[in-house]
Amino acid sequence: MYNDIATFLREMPLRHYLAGGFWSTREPTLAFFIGRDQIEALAASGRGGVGYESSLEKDNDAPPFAGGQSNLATTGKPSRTLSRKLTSRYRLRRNVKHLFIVDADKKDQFFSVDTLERLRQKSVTSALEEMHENPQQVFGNWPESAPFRWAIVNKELNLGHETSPRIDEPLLTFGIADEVCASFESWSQNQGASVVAILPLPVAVLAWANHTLATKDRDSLVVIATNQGTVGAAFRRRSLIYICQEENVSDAFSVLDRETDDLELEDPVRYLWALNVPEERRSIPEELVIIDEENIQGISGGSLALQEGHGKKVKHDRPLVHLLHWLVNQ
Amino acid sequence: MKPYLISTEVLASQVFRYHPAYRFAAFLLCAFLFGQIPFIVWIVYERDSMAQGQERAAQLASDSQRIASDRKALAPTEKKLKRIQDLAPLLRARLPIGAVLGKIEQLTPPDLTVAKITIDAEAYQPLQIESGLFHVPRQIRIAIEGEQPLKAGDPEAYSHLAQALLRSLPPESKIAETTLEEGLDAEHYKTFRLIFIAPTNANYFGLGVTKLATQNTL
Repeated sequence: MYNDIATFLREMPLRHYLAGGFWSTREPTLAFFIGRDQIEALAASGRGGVGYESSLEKDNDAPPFAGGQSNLATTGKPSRTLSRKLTSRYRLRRNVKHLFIVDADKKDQFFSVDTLERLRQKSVTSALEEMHENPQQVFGNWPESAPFRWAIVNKELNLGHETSPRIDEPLLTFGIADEVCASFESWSQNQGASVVAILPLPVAVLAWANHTLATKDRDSLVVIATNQGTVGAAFRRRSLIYICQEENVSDAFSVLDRETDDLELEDPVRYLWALNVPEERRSIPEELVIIDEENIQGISGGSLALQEGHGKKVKHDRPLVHLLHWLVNQ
Repeated sequence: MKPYLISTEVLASQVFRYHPAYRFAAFLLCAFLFGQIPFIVWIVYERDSMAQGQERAAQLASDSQRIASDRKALAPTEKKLKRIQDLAPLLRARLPIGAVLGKIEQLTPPDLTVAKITIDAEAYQPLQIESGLFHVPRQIRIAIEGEQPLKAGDPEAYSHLAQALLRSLPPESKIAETTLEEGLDAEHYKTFRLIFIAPTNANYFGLGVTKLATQNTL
């Protein structure tokens, strides 16, 4: 009891309380996309997105890149933190939450679709504990020596729900290197913000796709192309049943095509979500639906008008902006 | 959204931010600390006042010592002044004889002949001062004797002299005696005698004594 009180007094977030934390926990969210050499952010209040920053990597107080390293040499503590600057710029409350969407290096992230039965676990909690303590035991040929952090979501990829699946139900297990996650946590702590979640970009896109695209009517294949590689996923109706990491879009679709029969998919729709429009677009099959600026309005229901650093509202139709906007509302 | 990939340490610290019990406890703590502000301000004010008082007391003590040392050097002068001040009753109990004589000469009408003027001090009072015991007169007795011709124009000339001189003498002065008698040459003159009693410790401005400058306090 005494230790609990001492810990509370020692770690009490006084500045957070004095900035309104006593009365309200409805805080604005800063959703960061963290790439290999690119950082973008969406500032959102309780009513949705209000501002967008498309090149934060130039700021000397920017969060670390996806590799965990800082983008600029620190020349001392800045007078105002980046979070404070953004909340002032977009007239948001000072207490903020950070959401990190990370396009991590292939070696720093891991995805797998499994069942508790195959993992030889009885519950999600025990599976997470086992993955944390002994991933080799769980995944068999686990190559990494660096510690990872793990999470499990259900087959519908509902990011806001507790997962309590049946033992034979597919699950998405994913992980990111502990070092990468710790760098974001440390940065948020220095900013005086709390952390909502750290999500790999492919998981966030798959959740968005499963929620937004018409996967409930047909089976679908979704490929996510990022700067760090490509992730392919197969959905039976709205259930994720397969995921793989490949070098490029063609490889991902080839693998998915090969697995289509084994997965018993019926004439699946093919979707491509690309961080940047792929140069190899011409080689992609014609029936492919590319989620880009041309059709995002039809998918999401309209353009996003968000204020930028110069103060004017600009229409944003990039899929990444719509993804961040969807995530902050989850 | 569930807190995916967040460490347990960070989650534990974030509980302090959002759990109602911790927020309420923090509010109570802050309210308590805020309630102490007037007391702390009072303590600070009191300490400041006390420090200022001590500083002032030290300064006054220093000034007092300085004044005492200065006064020590002035002690002989003070002693001399004390002696002079002791002499004040002696100096005050004086009659400006020249002014009295001048006034008598000025007021005496041509019909009168003043034969004798006697000025005596009386009603002595003992006065002890440092240098000894003195007898200081409290009254001055002025006696004027003379003759008035019988054929003079104004048979009451001596009386008019008495009244005029009384007005010139200090307040509380009085005429002790006024007589007109037949003298040795009774056919031609009568002898008059006027006696005045005047206090010594009074102003003699009526006699024509004027203040030349501001009174010196010494």
